[in-house]
Amino acid sequence: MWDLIVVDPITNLLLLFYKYLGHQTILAVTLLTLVVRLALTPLTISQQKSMSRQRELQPRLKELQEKYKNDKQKLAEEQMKLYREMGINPAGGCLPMLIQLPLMIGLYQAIIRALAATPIGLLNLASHVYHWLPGLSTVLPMQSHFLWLDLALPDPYYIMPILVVVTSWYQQKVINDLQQGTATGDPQAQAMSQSMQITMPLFLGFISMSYAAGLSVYFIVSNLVGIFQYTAFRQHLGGNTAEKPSGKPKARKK
Amino acid sequence: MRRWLLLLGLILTALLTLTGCSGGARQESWPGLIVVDDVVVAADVNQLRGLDAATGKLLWAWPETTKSNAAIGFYATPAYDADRGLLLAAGFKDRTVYAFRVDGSLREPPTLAWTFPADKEDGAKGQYVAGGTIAGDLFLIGNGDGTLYALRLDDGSLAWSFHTDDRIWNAPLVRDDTVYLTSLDHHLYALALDDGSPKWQVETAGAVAMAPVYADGSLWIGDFGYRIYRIDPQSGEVTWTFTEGKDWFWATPVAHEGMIYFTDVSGNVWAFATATNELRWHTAVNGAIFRGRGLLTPDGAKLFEPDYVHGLVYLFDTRNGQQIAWGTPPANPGRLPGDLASDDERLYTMPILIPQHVQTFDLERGELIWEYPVPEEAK
Repeated sequence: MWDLIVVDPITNLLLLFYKYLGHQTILAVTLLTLVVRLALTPLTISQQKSMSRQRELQPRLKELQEKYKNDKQKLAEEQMKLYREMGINPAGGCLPMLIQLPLMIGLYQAIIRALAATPIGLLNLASHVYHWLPGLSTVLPMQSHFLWLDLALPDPYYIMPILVVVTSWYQQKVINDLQQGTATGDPQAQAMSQSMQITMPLFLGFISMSYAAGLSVYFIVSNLVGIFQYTAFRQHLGGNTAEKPSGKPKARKK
Repeated sequence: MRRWLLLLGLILTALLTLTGCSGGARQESWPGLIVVDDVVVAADVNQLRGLDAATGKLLWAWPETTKSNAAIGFYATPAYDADRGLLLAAGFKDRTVYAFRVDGSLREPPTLAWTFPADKEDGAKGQYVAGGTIAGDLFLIGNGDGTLYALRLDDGSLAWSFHTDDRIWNAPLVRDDTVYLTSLDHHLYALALDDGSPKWQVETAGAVAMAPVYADGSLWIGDFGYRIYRIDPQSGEVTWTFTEGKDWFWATPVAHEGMIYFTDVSGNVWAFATATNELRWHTAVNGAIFRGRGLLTPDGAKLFEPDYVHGLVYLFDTRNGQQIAWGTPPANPGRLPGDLASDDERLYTMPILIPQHVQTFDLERGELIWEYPVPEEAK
């Protein structure tokens, strides 16, 4: 079912791009990543808006925490009341991610599948190609050579993994700057963000070292789009989000 | 805090999915075997194994232990040079061709004679998927780096090489002084056997993953462009093209006395008369994927075809394409991507994704004779 709904359509879209982009795998992967990331942009914006509004709510939430520190039930009630009053869905930051993650995983799986580094990979791909799209299956296997790379195999010189680490780190940095002090204002959450800035790039770098270089293309393009989107969003907010949290709740003017 | 935990959970789930930690067997290619003098020599991924053809008893294995050889990956069908007493195999992962000296009988463990490359610095850059072809003093084997390597059988040194623009996934055909080579780069090449110089080449609509077959004075190939070509072996002229295919022609066809049988990855079987190119019959097995090469009974009356998806072997009457009942399939057949093999008495398969790596059937009745390794419940 997962294949049918998510991976197969993305795989065939990739093959379609490949067919019409002069059998250039790198261009097809780049375009597919751009299309999917741009299609998810409304969700990304919605997620950032939600987090931004929650950030604006922080001083009032802190006040409530202080006021009802000995009554957890009352605190929860008041927090929910405040969210309702402000028209904020407390899960609004996570919901878009719930939708985005499966698509991104599907995109990753489609790229790996379409590149078919092994004979069994290509054999399995045969049954996922839409035969009703004329000429689609006849373009396979995809041409995987680009400069020094075989896109179906890991980069032997580790240049692509390094680019993945650098772009991932920078994207994470932009996200952290954007989210600085957001959400709960929880020091644990901030520590986790800082930790993610290191662990995520390293992990993606490790994946890039171990898997097809075509996947690194996807990571790099995706990171660049992310950097652009989050930077644009930060600028849209007027740079307020980059402020460091003072650690002290501000008094709300009545 | 709860939201961050949820986020962390999501990321972990994504990472597990990305890294493929969800389990499941991994298979990269299809293993192959040959039967020589009542010995089955199987490229069994971790080891090259010699098995008694009648009983399936393990006679020898190379390397002797499986711990140190996970990086070899024996998939390519071995080749045997009876005149020189040389057994040849190739590693998918380590990109190495191995030649073993056979002293007297294949029932005895062979000893390593040479490797190509002799040191790990040179040699092929890609994977060896298919076996090679012995021709005169040479062993010809194609590689995933797009190169055909012609190795001297005496010492494994490189006599010549020929480069194509994509992977080579099948053994070349050699006739007289010409090597016929297919590549995924959409070409069939004819090369001089003595130095690898090109004689002619034919461009096809799709990639060609099968080996060419010689029948009735012509070369026959099918491609991923759903086409079958008949080609003059001298000039390279395409004398006939079949354009009504329905899917990739991947399995190397089999030919016998005026007939040639093609299969595709949508379960279609096509029978052509080689004298007239006439399509005699066409049949299809719903849901089947024919990737491995089939085989004919010695009299050419029956055609066996391995179905990758269901792990079953189908039997057809070659007069009309009618399916014939043949034995009882194993309870857990696995998948059958590789070529079938036979010694005219038994039929041998190498299923994947199940513990049994070799299954042997009575050619006439289809009964399972033995499996290797022996299933636990049968011990």
